[in-house]
Amino acid sequence: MEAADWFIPRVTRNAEVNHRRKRKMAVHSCSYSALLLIICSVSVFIFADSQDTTLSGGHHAAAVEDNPQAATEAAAKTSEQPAVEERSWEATEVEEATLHEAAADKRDTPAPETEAPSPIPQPKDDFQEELVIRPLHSGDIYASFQFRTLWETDFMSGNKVSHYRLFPKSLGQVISKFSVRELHISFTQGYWRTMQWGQPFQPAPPGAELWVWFQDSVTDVDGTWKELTNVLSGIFCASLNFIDSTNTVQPSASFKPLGIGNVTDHRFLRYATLPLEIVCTENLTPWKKLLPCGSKAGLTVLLKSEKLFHSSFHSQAVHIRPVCQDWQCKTTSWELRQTLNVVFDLHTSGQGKREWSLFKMFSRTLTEACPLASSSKIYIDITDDPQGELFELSPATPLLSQAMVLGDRRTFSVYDLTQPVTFGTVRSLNLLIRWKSSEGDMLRPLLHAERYVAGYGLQTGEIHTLMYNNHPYRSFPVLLLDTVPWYLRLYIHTLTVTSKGKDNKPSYIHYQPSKDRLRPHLLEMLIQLPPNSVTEVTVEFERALLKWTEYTPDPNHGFYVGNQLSCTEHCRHGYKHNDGSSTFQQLERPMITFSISPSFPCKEESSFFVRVYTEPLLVNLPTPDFSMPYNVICLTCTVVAVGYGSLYNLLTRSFQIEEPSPGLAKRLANIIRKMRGVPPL
Amino acid sequence: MQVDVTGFKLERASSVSGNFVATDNNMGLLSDPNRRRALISLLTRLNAPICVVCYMAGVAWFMGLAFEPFTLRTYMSENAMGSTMVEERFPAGEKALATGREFAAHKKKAGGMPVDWLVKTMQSRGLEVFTQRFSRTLPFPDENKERYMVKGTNVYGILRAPRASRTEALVLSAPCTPGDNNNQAVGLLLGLAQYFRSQVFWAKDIIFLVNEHDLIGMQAWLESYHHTNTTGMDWSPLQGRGGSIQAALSLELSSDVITSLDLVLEGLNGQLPNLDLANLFYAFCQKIGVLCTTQGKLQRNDWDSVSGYSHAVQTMMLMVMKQASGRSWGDHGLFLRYHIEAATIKGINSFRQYKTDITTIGRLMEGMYRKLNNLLERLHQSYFFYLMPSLSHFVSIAPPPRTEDGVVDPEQMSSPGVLSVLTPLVISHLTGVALYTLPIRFQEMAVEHFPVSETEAVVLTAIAAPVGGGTEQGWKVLKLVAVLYLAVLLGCTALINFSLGFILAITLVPVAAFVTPHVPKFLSAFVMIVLSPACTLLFSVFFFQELQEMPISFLDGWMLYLSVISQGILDHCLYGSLVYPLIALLVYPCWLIFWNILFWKFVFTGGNVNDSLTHWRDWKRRGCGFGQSAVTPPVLGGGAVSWGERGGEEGALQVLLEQLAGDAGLPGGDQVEVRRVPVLLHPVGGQRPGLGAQALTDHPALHPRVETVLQKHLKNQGVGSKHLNPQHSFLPSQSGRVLRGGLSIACFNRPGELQAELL
Repeated sequence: MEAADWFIPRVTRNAEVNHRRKRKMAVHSCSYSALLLIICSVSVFIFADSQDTTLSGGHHAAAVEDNPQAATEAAAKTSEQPAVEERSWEATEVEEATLHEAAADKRDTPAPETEAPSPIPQPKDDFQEELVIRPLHSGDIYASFQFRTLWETDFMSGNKVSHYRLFPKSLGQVISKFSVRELHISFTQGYWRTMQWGQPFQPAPPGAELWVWFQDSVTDVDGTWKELTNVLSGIFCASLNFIDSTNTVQPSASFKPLGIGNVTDHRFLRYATLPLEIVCTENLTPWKKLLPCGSKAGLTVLLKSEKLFHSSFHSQAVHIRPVCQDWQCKTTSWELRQTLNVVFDLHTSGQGKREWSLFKMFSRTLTEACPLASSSKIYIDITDDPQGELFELSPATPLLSQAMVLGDRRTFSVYDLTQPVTFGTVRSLNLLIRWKSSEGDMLRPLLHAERYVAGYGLQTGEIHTLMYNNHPYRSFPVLLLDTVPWYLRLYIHTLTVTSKGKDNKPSYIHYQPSKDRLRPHLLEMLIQLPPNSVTEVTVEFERALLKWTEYTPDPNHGFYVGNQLSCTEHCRHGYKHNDGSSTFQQLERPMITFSISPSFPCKEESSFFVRVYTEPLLVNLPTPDFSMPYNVICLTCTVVAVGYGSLYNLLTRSFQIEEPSPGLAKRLANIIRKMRGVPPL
Repeated sequence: MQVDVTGFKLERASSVSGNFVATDNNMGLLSDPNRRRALISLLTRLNAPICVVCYMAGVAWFMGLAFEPFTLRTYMSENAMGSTMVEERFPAGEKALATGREFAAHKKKAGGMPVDWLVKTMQSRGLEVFTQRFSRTLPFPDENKERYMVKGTNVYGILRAPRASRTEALVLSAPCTPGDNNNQAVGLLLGLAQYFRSQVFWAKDIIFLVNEHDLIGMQAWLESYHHTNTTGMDWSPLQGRGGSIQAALSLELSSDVITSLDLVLEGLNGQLPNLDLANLFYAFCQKIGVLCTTQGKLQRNDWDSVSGYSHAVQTMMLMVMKQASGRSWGDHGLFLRYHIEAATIKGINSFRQYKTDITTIGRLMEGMYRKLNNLLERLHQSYFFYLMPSLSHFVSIAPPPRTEDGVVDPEQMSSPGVLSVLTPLVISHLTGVALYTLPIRFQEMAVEHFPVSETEAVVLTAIAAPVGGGTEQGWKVLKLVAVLYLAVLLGCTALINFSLGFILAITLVPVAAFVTPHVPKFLSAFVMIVLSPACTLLFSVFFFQELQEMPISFLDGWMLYLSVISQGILDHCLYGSLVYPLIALLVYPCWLIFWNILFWKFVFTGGNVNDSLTHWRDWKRRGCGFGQSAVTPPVLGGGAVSWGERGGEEGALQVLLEQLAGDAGLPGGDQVEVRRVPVLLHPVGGQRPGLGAQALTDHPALHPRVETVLQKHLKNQGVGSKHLNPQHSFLPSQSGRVLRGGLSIACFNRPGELQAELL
């Protein structure tokens, strides 16, 4: 119960802060802390259990893979507690010790002694960088950067955190001001070609994606969300301020917190995508500024925009979550992961030659690690080629590592940049990967999805989503999240799900209809994909006629409909984990294995969680002709109407001379005459 | 400056109108019954000349459109394509030709589409390659292309644009045709694919499509891409897509060098791509220096000479004919249904000295695709309805000119007539339905029996005419219905397919204008058959051949005519062309109605209008105001009897005459065309030598049956012929026209009694 004790003062402090700010939380605070207490005790209890499932050979930094629920169970919304058992741990005490030492050593060097004495323990922070390179079958090359900053601090406590070392201050302030529990933001330019490239390490949809879990102390979630998006828009130089209620949803089952704390009340979750967002250097620069070494040293020198944006795919992301510092979760720390994924094209960047080097990719070579980083490594994915038949690496490295990535056991060659040996005599590292053969066939990825609009004309249409399960004998449960803007009026009664020509009844459907100009359609479904099948989800829609001020400046371009997201638990059987007998160095595991993207630790390591994004849709709405002819038509119609009207009037109006109204006597007389049947006077 | 002018004009206008109002003495032009009647009678009198003038003016105006000073020069409306410069650097023409030869060899070997080779080649060029199988059984064997059960495979490769999210795509297609055709096009397509793949500037995916069985393959691919099935084709679903297609070009090249490039725009149902696409092509031809044509005709500079003008007219009329045919004149035509701007570019190798090599064409294509790639929105800035007398000039089709406006007679329907016209309407439409369904039903003898419309028309009208017979009123109502029907039909057709509307109007409007039951039967029937839709099509076939400078003999023309009809039906079944159903279900019945009017048989049915006449007259006597009476005027022959003092009498008399003749059961030929002859009130005392009261019955020319009826009527009124006012005499018609059975009568000086003059 230590952890629980430790939590209480923090929670109350937290409550006080909120109390001061909002003056509304007084009633809630005690029930709130009690709730947290229960949660903590539960988790401690479970930690003890989960030691059995601890994997050996973890990274030296302790990270908690925290995914409390299977998607399926979450969807059913019945069982929250049992899922917690499925935590897995990757920590060893030995590693822990070294980490602390390293951190302590590091802190000595910059050591500004101006730290004010405070009741909070000395913040410990740590920075790691890595680059994973995977040569792809198509001849393209995939480079994935990971920068991870861990900081053992508490933004939610009463004391204002004012001393930042490795952790970027701008993000720290965002966390504390908006009571963010978790923040995941990605900017992507391009669509991941699953058919050619296989599964990405971190899937991301084209455009911008943002999802945030707020602390349950936040009362006005929508207001905070609105402010937060505006602030992030400034920080990342992106048009996140276009996120409003019409494109924000609260998925009920598709997202779970990835860090500690298993609040799954989706009232505190907001999710939005902006498919139109175009990512370019102005987004890259602020992203690089968040790194401790900036773009001055270490792996970041490779991030030159003229090369990064000369690629087939570019995706950068920031993930913030609270994690446990050690396996007992005595202390929590904030983890900031910055990732950047880029795919260089064989034909445009590589001039058609299957030969890649750091210089060819980034027009830079490496000369040093980031001095602030506790670890700085390059991993080359040589899974497809363990014997060096397909491609050769130079300089060669003796270090090998094996890890599970997305359910695959992958083998990596490791270059440690903190070792001077790596740079050789020329004091610079220019990795060279040369393919020996040049065949490239299309992959058949186990799971992929596509989406398109069917039909023609501007009145109705049909959204088709195809989900391919290419596994020969396994079926996968897939949780589908679909957000459709209000201007496509979904006919939800036309929703059909078919697999292999048969109706496939979803086991869970959550549908929230749209409100015009207020909120989008939200559709979540849990579908079982039969093995070796294509599942088709169709729904018809009608295109709304917008008000004329609601059209974008380029209405004939069409309107974007955000991508669809399907997540699945994805387990592979027939794989035996042989930890003891492995000849590889277990220590060297790339950080990608500690999923940034929502990973799903099963009891077996062979099980994992995958998100698959479909492409966004471009839908044309009925658009008036805003150009000159439109004005001409308006003008001529007006002229014709005026001209015709007056002419017609002139031709047909009959004028009558109105008799002066007769006096009262005459009128009476007329009435009498009328009654008598005599013509009136 | 402009404001001043307008202000001035407004002032002028208001002062003028003020004067007008002052002089007009508070009476609207049409509300004054005298003027109104004058206007109407003027219109009715001048109906025929007005019709002719309108018709002539319409045709002349249309022909004038080809005159260069009346047309606009084409210009690029789309900003994204206009101002930006692109460089064309496509180098690999020779290589493309080699690929084309390789393709030809594989095609020959495979005896059709070399699917595997294409897949491999496209893959090696870095495209995502997919195939699609399709099959279709035609409703009847297509003799032109010699196919019945069609099975094929489309191969397409998608060039994924870097950092694009698969929302937009462009299509470049080349048909894989049997024989030695189009190999160069496929070669160039593959060459372009390879070259485009190494460029970074693509913002839209580019789909390179090689389609088998030309339009059928294209239809299968497009239907599958958009997941629609309008024509019942079997296709396998597509595995890869590139978002919404923004524009498409189809390439047809059959020689290594070409002399000119021809741009084909006419698509299914006469749809045209946005004019900017044509502008784009023209701009690049100018820039790169390639001869370019449309309708296979170069443009000439001597527009002021007669030959130059006739050249422009020829070009425009070719476009009109092609558009009116409603078929797709290239693979591009099917894209237009999906609101994808598309055109076909055809390489033409003639005997000219000046040749263009394939590298140049490749550069042209590259330039066009780069500009299309720059598009931010769909092409929408420029015109969608236009005609092109040459590639550099166009005629915008705004509200289409109407030629049939003058035809609609100022008549009104009478309520008993509506039911009587239903029968002929229904019968002619049933005939249309039969024409629509029979050819496809009885496909084994299909092609021989298609041109049945004439014989069928005659035969079926023989059935229709007796059923549709009726009173004098009846045919007028029917004609009114038919004319309105035609007006609506042509109006709608012209909105959708202007050229078709124009051609139909040219032929059907004269029919609508002249047909009455009273014109000479055999001559009119001949004219009507000549102007029937079927004959129009026959003439169009010859005219088209003439325009293409490939005149043919009558026999060949007849064969071509038959094949055109079968092609039309096939187009309808395979691609959803609407011309055949339009002609069969709407135009032909409309024509049949006119035919029906021509052979109108008069069957008179007696009715009693006297009561309403009396009633009406009574009200009139009591001085009810103009136009405000609750009693509807008696209606005669489609026109209301006017309220004027004289007119009312006249109208009443007409009705009486009609009634009398109807009761007498006079046959149609003996019926009097009443409206053309003014019926006069006879002055008291008779200034002119008239006939005595007794003369009415004594008149030698009075039809005995009319006489009997008249006598009966007089008796019913309580006045025997003896009681006729002797002061009133019967006068001969003042018009001087005495028709068969002509007779004057006059009678009754009491309220409710009428005078009539029977001529």
